[in-house]
Amino acid sequence: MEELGRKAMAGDIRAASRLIRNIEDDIPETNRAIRHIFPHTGRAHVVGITGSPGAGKSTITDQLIYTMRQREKTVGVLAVDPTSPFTGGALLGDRIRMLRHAEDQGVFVRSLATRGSMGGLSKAVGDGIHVLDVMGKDIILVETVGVGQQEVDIINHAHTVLVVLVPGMGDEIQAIKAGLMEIADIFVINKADRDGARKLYKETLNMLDSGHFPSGWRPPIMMLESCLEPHSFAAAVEQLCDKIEEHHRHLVENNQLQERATRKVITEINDALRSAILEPVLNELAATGEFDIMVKQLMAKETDPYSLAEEIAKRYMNK
Amino acid sequence: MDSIAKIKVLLGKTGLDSQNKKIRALARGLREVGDMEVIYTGLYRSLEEIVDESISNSVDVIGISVYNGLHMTVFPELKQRLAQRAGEKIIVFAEGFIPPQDQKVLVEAGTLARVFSPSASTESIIEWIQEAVNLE
Repeated sequence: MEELGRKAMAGDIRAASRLIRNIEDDIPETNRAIRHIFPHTGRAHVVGITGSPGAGKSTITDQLIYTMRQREKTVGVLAVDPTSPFTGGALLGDRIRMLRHAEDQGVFVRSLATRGSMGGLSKAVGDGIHVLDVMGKDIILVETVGVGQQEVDIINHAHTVLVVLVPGMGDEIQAIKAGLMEIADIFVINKADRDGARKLYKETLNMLDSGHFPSGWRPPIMMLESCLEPHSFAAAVEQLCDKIEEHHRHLVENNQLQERATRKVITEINDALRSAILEPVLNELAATGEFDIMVKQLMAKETDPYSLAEEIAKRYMNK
Repeated sequence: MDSIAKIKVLLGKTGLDSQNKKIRALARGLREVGDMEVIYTGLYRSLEEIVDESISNSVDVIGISVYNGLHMTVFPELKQRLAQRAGEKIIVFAEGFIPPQDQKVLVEAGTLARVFSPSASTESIIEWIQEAVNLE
């Protein structure tokens, strides 16, 4: 495992891929590899990109890769795809567009399927970022769908967060209120040539007007029009890239990068504790069949979840 | 709680071969199984792209659909490119129209692990993949 870590650090794509695969498969020894590379992490600028399905995240990511490569930055991409909660399977590869960078050694694009439960995703993303980081990527783009709690957790791993909105989805603003407002560093209104873009812009602006920004950074709103107009789209993404760099400078100059890094390690230790403490307990309960019994007890209203949890906690925590 | 490890499969098409109905259905079918993750590349991929995507995602299995008669070119080249990237252990299967005599040549040379005809059921392909990966 240390061997994989070492090879990944030397930029070996196959070793890095394998390592991420082991992270996904949640192979316990992977922790050893992470232990090996952890001291060397923290160099890359991690940019999170989130938004509803179909908002155009992959298209924007693809163009960002291109722009960043033009600026001679190496780029790693982690594209997080949800695993079906019903079957456990996943269909990845909605980033067909990004394949145009396949021949470029300075770009590494990786799908990450989200398995397991309870922060497992966040942990995998955190570790995946570490791998890309020690591979020496200057910028790591983490693309994730949606606006749920899990995504907010993922986004905690990022230094700069882009929230992609599109006109004509009424729930956008509601979703933002529900949590992404606090976490967005840059708003991107994509498909801004469509009806309703002005309205969405105004709504976002109003929302920002009523917010306050103790960090001194007020999230800008960037407008991107159709990617079918390659020249104007590329120019707009250039500006977006400028903003991303500007935000990074802001973090550095105001000592806020440290805060973001703190946010990241807090998330990581939370995830690690969960995987070291909670998961083994849950696995054991499931394996012994006790979990099913508890479910039945609850269905029959014989007890309540809190009493059960207390009982389990007493047993495992030696108190 | 079931095991978290999954079989990773890349499905795709290469060149100007656009008959993708079967491979799309297959992608859907594999996803439904539950113990597999599927990367579907879409149409018009170069072999270089397919190999790159396979290596960067550490897949166990590659399934390429070929309906344009270029199988005798496509698969040896795919295999060679995989070997160059230390991916020779990845199991490669084909789906599509491949005449029996060509099937024989490709399978005997170890270029392909298996060929499925267009009429092969999704279930039979799933079963085969699970077995092939477990044998590894």
